Amino acid sequence: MSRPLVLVAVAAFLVLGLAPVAMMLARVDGAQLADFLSERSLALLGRTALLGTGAALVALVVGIPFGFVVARTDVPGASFWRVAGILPILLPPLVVAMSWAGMTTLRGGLATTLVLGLCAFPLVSLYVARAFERIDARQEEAALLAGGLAAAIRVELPLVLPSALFAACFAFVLSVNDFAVPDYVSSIGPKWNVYADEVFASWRSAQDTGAAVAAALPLVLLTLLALLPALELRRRNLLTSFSGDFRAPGRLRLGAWRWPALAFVLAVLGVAAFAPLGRLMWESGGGPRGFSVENARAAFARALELGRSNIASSLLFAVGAAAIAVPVGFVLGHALERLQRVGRWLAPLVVVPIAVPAILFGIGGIALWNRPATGALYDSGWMAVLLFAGRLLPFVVLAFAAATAMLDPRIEESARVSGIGPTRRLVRIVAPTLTLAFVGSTLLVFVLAMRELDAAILVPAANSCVLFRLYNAVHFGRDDFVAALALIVVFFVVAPGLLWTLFVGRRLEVLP
Amino acid sequence: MNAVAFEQVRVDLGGRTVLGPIDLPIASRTWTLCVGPSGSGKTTLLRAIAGLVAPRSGRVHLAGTLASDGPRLLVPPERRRIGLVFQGGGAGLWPHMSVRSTLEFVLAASGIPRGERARRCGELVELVELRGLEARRPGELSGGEAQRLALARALAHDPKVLLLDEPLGPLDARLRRDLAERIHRVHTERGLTTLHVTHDPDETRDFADRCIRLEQGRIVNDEAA
Repeated sequence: MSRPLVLVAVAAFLVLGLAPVAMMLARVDGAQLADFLSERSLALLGRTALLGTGAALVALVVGIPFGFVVARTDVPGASFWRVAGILPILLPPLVVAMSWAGMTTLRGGLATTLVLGLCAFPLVSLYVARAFERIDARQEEAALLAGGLAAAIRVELPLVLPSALFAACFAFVLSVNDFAVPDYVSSIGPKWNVYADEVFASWRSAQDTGAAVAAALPLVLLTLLALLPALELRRRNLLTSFSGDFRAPGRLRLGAWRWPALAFVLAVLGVAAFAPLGRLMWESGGGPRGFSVENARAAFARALELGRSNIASSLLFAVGAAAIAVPVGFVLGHALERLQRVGRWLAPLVVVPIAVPAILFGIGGIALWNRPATGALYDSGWMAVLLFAGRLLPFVVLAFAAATAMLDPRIEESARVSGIGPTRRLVRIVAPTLTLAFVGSTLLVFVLAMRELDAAILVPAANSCVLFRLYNAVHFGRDDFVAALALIVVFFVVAPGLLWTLFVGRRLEVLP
Repeated sequence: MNAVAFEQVRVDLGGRTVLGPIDLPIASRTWTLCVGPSGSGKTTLLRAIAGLVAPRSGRVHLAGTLASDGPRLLVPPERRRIGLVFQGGGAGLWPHMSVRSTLEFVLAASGIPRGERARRCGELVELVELRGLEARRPGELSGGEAQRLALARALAHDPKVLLLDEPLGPLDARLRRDLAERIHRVHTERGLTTLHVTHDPDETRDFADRCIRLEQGRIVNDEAA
């Protein structure tokens, strides 16, 4: 363990990740807490919990069979679908909600829950797929010999379930903290407000951050309640990871069931990704007024012209956030895993930046940086970079901790007894063996920062991001411009992962 | 002088005592065989000497210097001048480094000047007969070649104590014999103190000066080989 590097990384985490949360909490005064148990607060809490549970259930119901089918069966194009299955989580939920609003008459809580659940299902399917792939072939073969497929499933399900539940907890957290989808769905149909958009509304109406933060504290507790079991499940999941003489399992033959399985995969991806993208494409070409390629071309040209600076800002923010979060996350993630006993207690601290709603994290960022000494930074794009880096650091730390857990400790031990010092071990031995985690984490931060709206919405410097532009455009009327801009955003979010898949193809270590 | 001395050393892992308390002096320039069933504490014994696990209690001395005092590591592993060859076919080799870069990396870390590294690296490659394979990475080596690289790496920083954790296990009989003789030659030429943990004492009984048997973390037999 390189003490100087760890200290620098801890300091960076304290400033970027924890200080905004502390500043946010400092804004609350005792009197503002009185409203906690009011009928209105309880109703909000109930709706928010319902939204999170519903979205997590949707993610589980869709994600478990999807992950199993693409990872472990001979469904036609399984490897392709395994990669394509990530697409729904790359799409900004606001974009999916926009397109679904145009295609269906679903509104209110059901629409919000379905959209957020479908956007989060790849989390579950990715974890489930990875867990299925880590079951030793011999374990499965022994179960098959003992009692056929039913016995194999009985043996494997308990091994996979912790991963699925961990991912579902994360789906819950992402859903209850999303403000853009409930806000948008409420704006086009019956109002179904939850905590996240209520916090935004109370801040917008009164500009009283203390009241907004106080109002959201039950949401913070709700999120923590979901994250703590998630961390325990993650630990168990890592403990059951494969060992040295691991033998990868083969794909199970489905026979005639291959085609229904393929239909299921297509239906899921159709609903969660292809239909929304198709709808946006149709709208960009004129939609109900009559689709034409010329219209689409004009809409894209207009979106590129008007949104160019926003796209450039978002790209800079995302790249900047990745450049900061990845090295810090690497050092912390490695330390978290290798200092196992201490790490177990530190893990809850690491997830604090994502345990608070992004919108409150933004408020904390304002409180931290909007002061005379840091005014220049607050007004510059660096503010957005630091905000996104702090907000997304937990994902990177957990991703590197998971990658480190997969690394044979003897690789580091042999360096240690060979006289290699801690910093050189980390830089020359550990880092090169975690190359895929580096690429994966960089892409993860890039994607999440590109689609981040909630943390950016209250911070003036971050308002130049493209999602904010899209959010504003949606609320000022939907037209071909909005659809084209949404598709351009999707392109930039998907492009790096797509290029990697096409030209390198190695599976990235990206799961926290 | 003893190269290694355990004084009432006890190691706990996961809340369970896996080694000791034991007293174990190991004289310099000797070859000690350590045998015993799985889970008897053989690997833990090596790891405690290397400083990769901290004892719960007791003291570990290396060449007369107090290296571990209870859970306090007074001399960190990287300063103990110990060579360790892990159990398994090339386990712990650095997958991103070729044979040459592995050895040069260790030589550089032990302060060997750049100009001299190539020569020392060549000697090590010659010693373990990996000539012609310098550009290969561990994944491109056979089991026997990988173990020879592990041995060369363990010797690169000129250790005083060589710890062998069943290094011959995954090899076939001919390779086992060949590598065992090679290690013994190095042991003699360099005046090393070698502690060889094995399931199969016949592997190197001819070379050993002493044989200890561990069971349930305790030394149950200690005799001249």
